[in-house]
This record gives sequence, C-alpha cells and structure tokens, in this order.
Amino acid sequence: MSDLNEDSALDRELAASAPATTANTVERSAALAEMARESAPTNVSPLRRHRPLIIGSAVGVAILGFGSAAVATGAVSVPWVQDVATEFTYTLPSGAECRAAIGDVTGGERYEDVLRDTVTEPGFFDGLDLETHIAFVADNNYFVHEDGTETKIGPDTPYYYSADEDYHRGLSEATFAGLREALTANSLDPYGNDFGYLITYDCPGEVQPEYIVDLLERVNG
Amino acid sequence: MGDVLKALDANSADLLQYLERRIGITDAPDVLSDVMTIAWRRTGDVPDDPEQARMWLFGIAKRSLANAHRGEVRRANLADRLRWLAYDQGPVAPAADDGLTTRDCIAALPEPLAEIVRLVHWDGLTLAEVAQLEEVAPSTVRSRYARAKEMLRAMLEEEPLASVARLKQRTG
Repeated sequence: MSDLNEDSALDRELAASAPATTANTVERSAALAEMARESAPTNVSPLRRHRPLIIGSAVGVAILGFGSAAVATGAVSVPWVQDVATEFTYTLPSGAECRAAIGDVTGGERYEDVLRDTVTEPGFFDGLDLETHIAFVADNNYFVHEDGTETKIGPDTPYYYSADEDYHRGLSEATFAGLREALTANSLDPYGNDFGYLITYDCPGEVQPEYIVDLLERVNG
Repeated sequence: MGDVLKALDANSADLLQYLERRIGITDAPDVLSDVMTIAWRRTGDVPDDPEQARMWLFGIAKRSLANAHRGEVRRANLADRLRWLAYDQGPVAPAADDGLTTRDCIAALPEPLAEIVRLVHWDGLTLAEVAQLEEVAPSTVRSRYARAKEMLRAMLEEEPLASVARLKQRTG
C-alpha cells in the first residue's frame, strides 16, 4: 500500500469505499419526481378557483385570495350547509369548541357519493394530517391588497392572524387532501371544473384577529 | 424566492444517495420523504441560486438524518415505491462489502473529520460546500480534511484493522 502516499490513490480508495446505493434508473427518477410532487401538503394554489371554501365567518377569506368584497360579503351571509354530508366537531388552540358541517357538493352524483362515503368513514377527520397542513398554511400566509399585491403575514407582522385561524385553514387543506386521495382512487379529477363543496363552522368563543373584526364591521356596514 | 419543486427535481437523486450512504437503502426513502415535506413547508425559504438551493436541501437532509438516527424514521407510503425499486433492481456497484476496511478507517476518525471525508469522497461536495453544510469556517474544513487524510493514509498503509482498533481505543 505504499502508493497511498499519493493522494490520487488514496482518493480512489476513499471514493470506492462509498456504501452501495440504488441504481439510478428511469423508474427511480419517475418515483422521485412523483414523490416530490406528492410530498407537497397541497397541490392547490391559494388562488385556485375551485378549491374548497371554508366559510362561517370572514376569517381567512381575504388572505386566502378570495379577496373581493363580494366574496367577503358572501362569507358572512352564507347559511349553514344545506345538504349536509356529515357534521363533525373539533377544538381550536384557544380552547373554543367548534361544530362543523361539510356538504353542498357540486360536480355530479359520483363526486357527491365519493365525498359522502369518505367523510362519513369512521375516523376520517381524526386521521387527517393536521399538523403538516397547519404548518404549511402558517408558512404561506399572504394578505392580498386591493391592488393585487401581497404581504406575507405572521405573528409579528401587520394583519396578524390567530392560531385558531391557522387551525381552520389547516383543517380545510387537510380535508381536501383526504378527499383528493379518495377522488383520485375513484378515477375522479379532484380539480374538476364543477367540483366543489362547502364547510361551515360555528365556534363560540373563537379568538379572531383584530383585522378580521374590523373587516366584519366594514362588510356589515 | 426559489422554486422548491425545481430544486427537488434537480437534487432528489443526489439526496437519496446521500441518505442511502448514511442510513441504508431501506430507510433512506422515508427520510427523503421527510426532507421533501419539510422543503415544501418552507417553500418561501428556497434560495434562488440553484447551488444554494442544493445546499439548503442537503441541510434539511442532514437535520432529518439526525432525527432518523434518534430512531424517528417515519414509514411513509410515498417511500414504498422507491423501496420496492431498490429491492427489485438491486443496488449499484460498489457491492455492500466493498471498501469495508476503508469505511472502518473512516468511521474510526473523529466524527467531524469522518463526515468531511464522506461528503467529499462519497457525495462529491467541494470543501466550500462542506463548510456551508457543516456550518464551519472553510479554513477549518480544509485543515480538518488534511488531517483526516493524513490519518487515513497512515491507517491504510499499515495493518488497517489494527490501526482502527488502536484509534478506537484512543478515541473511545
């Protein structure tokens, strides 16, 4: 091993000592590409037109990108889900207890059947990956101004949002992720043009950010 | 703000190999899944520069490995396909026992030195990239690397297993 005095020999030996790795094949590249896309907490843009809309107060409406006054107005006047698929309850970080309903499915009978079957499956809401989705929305909060510009918001910025709000939005995203999986498994496009549904909630005692209180006052005149 | 998907597409193969070399072929896909999830969660932090984005991802991988070493590997469904491909197609050369003695020598180095050798010779990082990943001054990395190679050369020139045993006695 005297030739190891030369770095090139040592370098070759060190490089050759690397543990085995998997073959870099077309199949593996495809699997990696798919994993990169599927790892996203949601494939839905905050501005996606057909994303599920969670309504019950104006919370989140502006920062989700539905920032027109018309939508905001609708948000405070939309009644409880009319055609309820199921109701469920949850507790917000502030301790407020929420009663929620999901339903009013659009897109056709097959969409309605899959959504109803999925959300009524025991443990569906308990099994959602809330932590991941809440963290995602917390990291991707933007306030959309009237001129279309955006301001990233967080606990230390203007337009401060609450942990309760993050929870609501994370729940919305996680619910859609669960539904997306079920729809895809049933050969239905989760982003189909006509597909939509509504979640409404009622959370007495919920902590609302100050700007939302102001927005509600303005919207309600 | 950089594009997280572009960064993942450009680097996921290298990240997988980096993880496979550290934690093995079976567990690496799960840790990679964690890395990707974290990258998506921090999508606003992706550097614009492709090289910086690459090192940012390796940084996440390094921290995820620390969790994995603590026994927190989370089985991810997304990883099953990669795991299946590994079993179906088998690993590439070198075979698992090639270079074992050299690996033992590397492992016998003090860990900061050993990791520099692995990053340079297994993962193809430059010393500047190692300095960034390890959050150590470049001059320190250079001197540690030189010291590591000096020790490895000495170990491999004599009876490697004997010198590994001696080194372990001293460091252990």
